[in-house]
Amino acid sequence: MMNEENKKLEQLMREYEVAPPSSGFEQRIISAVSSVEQKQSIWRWISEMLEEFRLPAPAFCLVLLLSVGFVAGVFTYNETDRDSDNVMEQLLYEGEEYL
Amino acid sequence: MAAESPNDKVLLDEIRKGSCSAFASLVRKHGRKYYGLAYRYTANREDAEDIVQTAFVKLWENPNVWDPGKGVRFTTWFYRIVINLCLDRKKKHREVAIPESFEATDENRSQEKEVCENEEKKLLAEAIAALPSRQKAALILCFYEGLSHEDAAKTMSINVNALQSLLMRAKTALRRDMQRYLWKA
Repeated sequence: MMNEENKKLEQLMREYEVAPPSSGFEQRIISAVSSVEQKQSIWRWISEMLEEFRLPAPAFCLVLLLSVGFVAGVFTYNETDRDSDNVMEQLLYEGEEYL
Repeated sequence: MAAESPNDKVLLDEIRKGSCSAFASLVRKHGRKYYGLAYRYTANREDAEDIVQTAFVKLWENPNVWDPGKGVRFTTWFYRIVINLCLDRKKKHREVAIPESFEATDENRSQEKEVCENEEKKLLAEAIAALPSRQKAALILCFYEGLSHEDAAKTMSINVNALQSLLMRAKTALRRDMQRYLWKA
């Protein structure tokens, strides 16, 4: 009995038709956005800016290598300086001092 | 669910670049489907059109809110936008509209059967319109829009068990409201 009720209910539900939208419904939506400006997210803006300045692969590699070299130089500067001090100390006789 | 076109992503990419023609294509492609959803929810043509227009204008304003990388299809995501707008509207307008297509008309309908059928349809539409918001949303998404339970649950941001419970309660309420007609004939 319940099954029959369900069937009848589903049949009724299927017959529930949607009234068609008014004519020019889609066109009205399309026209509505003509005066609306799009919001740009900051990340999107940054990525678009970066796309504008995209480097060709060889130039990109060169810039990358130079950057890596620069960073490596900055981080190893003190270490190199200390090493050169040690070398100088090894060249001196015992008890001898810098002039 | 309607067939998912792979072009939706392409169209959205174009819309992000400000293409009006891509936006027009998207509206022509999906506008009526979402109108149907909003109409079944609001039972009112003007409200349904306003809801769909608002949803598309929001999409135009901020097309980046749909992120294809999250694995949610555009159509499923947009169902959520439209459903949320329907729920918002429901909060603002508490009254239940009587569906336009089933309002009494003065046309000459002499046959008793036809009158009865129209009355059935009108009552059903009223019963659907009077369902609690979430039950109605679940019923429309699953029954009329043909979404799978998983997709409908995702659209409503609930789990599948909760969706099935909403569906069951909606059908029980409809069966109760329509009992007189279901037992007839």
